[in-house]
Amino acid sequence: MSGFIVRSLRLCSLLVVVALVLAACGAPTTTTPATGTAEPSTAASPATTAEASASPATAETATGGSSPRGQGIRVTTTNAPDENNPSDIARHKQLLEEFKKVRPDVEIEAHQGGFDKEAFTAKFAAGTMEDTYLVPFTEPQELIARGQAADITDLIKGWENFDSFNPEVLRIVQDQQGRIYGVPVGGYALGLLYNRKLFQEAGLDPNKPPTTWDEVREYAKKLTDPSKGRAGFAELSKGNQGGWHFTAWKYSFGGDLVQQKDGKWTATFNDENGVKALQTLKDMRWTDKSMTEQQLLTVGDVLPLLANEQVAMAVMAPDALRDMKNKFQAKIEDFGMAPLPQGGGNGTLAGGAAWLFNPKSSPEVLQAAFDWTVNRDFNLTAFEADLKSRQERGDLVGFPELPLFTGEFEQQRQAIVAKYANAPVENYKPYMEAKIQLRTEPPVKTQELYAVIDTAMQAVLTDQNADPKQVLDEAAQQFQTQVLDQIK
Amino acid sequence: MRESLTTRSAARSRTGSRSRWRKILAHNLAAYLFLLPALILFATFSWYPIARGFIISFQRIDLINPPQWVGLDNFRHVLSDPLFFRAWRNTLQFTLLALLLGYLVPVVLAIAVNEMRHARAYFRLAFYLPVILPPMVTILLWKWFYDPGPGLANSVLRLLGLSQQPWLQSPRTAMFSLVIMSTWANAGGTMLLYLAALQGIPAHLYDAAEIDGANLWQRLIHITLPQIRTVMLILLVLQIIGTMQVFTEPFVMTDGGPVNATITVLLLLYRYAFKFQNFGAASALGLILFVVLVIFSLLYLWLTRKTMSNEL
Repeated sequence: MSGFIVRSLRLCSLLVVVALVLAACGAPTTTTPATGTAEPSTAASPATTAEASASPATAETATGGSSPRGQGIRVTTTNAPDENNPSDIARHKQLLEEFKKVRPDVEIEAHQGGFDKEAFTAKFAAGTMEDTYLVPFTEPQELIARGQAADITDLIKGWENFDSFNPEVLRIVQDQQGRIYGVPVGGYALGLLYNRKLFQEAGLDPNKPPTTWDEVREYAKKLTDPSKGRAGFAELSKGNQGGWHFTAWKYSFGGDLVQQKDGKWTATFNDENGVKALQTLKDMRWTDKSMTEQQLLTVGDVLPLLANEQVAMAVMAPDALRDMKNKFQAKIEDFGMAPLPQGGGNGTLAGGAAWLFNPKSSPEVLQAAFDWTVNRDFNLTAFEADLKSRQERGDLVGFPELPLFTGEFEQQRQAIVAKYANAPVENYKPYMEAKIQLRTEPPVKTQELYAVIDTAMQAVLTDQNADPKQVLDEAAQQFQTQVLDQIK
Repeated sequence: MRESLTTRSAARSRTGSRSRWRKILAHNLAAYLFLLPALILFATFSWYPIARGFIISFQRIDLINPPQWVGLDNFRHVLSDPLFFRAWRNTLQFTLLALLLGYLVPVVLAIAVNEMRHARAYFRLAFYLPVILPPMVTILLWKWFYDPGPGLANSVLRLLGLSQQPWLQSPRTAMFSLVIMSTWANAGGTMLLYLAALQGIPAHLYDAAEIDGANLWQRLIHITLPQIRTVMLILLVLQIIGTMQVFTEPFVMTDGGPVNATITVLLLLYRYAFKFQNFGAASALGLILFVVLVIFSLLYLWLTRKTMSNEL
């Protein structure tokens, strides 16, 4: 009998999985480090361009501290460089050396793993949260509201380049009173990645990428070549990435995905503009036949297709270029980056990452942690050394990033980038010169939202009889009743 | 005086029972010590999480605030999710299709291999090979097979002059495609079990049948199948239990799509827990699945008992 009990209990291993997560509270997280490519905020670690190779080194990190016990300040941080990536580790070592010059009294202890919602909540619960931790742009507001991010207004205002911060970006880490809780360090805005060579072959001007979705349709038709197995356009629809990209589409047509009124949230992504967006996608798939036969794609599926010239255009974040080069050996000079095509909304989705700070850390540790983050990400000497070594290692340098700063400081940074750029920077001119509003991901129940929109995307991409309005209405109704109305 | 006597005898009986316990313990100490690591491991990694799972299904947990008792709220949430019934329908569909395909294929393979005079070892290995492949490799391989453009599956259809299929790309065919893949990947293991059962059939039964002039078909119907019937029954139940927990294939290949055509109970559970951080709902759904699986487990238990007593 006991054999039976054991056996049937084992069948319930699914419960084990769930409960283990809870039981594992406080255990060091083993989350996979960032892939580096921009992905929706669900990604294990926020993929910001600045964060490209920024994640973890363990043992080496804690060395350096020759200061006698009790004197030095120890700062713990997430996103240690990837243990399996020598160039990440090299970069991190270099940053530590730079930091030693400024704060010889501080020891940095970097822990493996980037943002991971359940791991972070568990660490907060167990009191093992790092002194400073990196989160995607979707998270700061919630963490600030919960009191899990320290107010660093005085620290950041004391920083020499504070006035250069791009106020749009800074707003992401501010509360309503304007207090500042974090240091935004990098980001992306979704745009259109396209193959210039294929443009030329199709008789299109590679310096004039499509700026509207109507133009995208025209271009995609011309770029499609079934005899070569080539599609003009590809779009994501799996793993919540369809919802993530749809958000950008929606912004480009206008309006929000959700709206808050009197504290109550309403799903609005099925409005006229949402339907227009999905209808465009459906027309490209079935009327124009200018999209891939293969659907249910993620970023990881589309990048090799772009690199192999099986797809000519796709919505991507610019750091995709780096993965295209490093992982898929794409001929990077063939690729250009344009702003997200528009349908009347003049907006695109921007994501990125910011360092937040543990409110339970002591003031001197917070000061040291703050010094570390700005030094790590903004120290010009370290920035230059980093770009130089990245260039020497053959990493892509010079792909577009979110403008974190304005004015002179930004110019200084750009001058350094230009010095080491090995990317064809002129190919990104359309993207850089765009005047499109940057908007963050929807702030409430984002993953649930993306999941229902994935379904709507899949419907129009895999079924030529699907009605965009109907599938969006269903998705909105489900999201409203199942998720938004349940918020207490 | 009397008092002291009673106390003494009481003390004696106490020491007596204590020493008896000590004796039992000393006698089995080594055994308990050997058992201890297993007990601790099971308790920590199996029983405790399972118990927690039950408890969590009645709680709201956000890992920050202390857990809150919410009664049946989690169950209400799960039952009102339109995907709940979708997931059960899909899971049952997968189970049924997997039985139609995946149940018969191994039996046929086993009988075929068993009847072979030559190259039996080769075919046994060939059919078993997919089982050795790590599931991820199998799944990525089949992703290529199912590519609607240059994929192997459509190339074969083209060669045969049949119409192309969308495979994973259409809500109509996606689940079926997963079943084919899963059958390919798992049939070998089940086949080995049948082969073992087949080899256990006494040879004299066949000899007698041949003398009586029974042909291959008659031997199959009257000897082979009745002889492996119990094994087939047990494997049937095991397979139902196994396929109802289908997760890896839809998780990696379709993530439940297209349009929720391949979302299964476990995949939904995974989403609740790890995408939406709703551990209560995940545990509630786990508990529901648990109850269903226990029914099949009892059936399995009863079947094995019956076979055991038959054989003894």
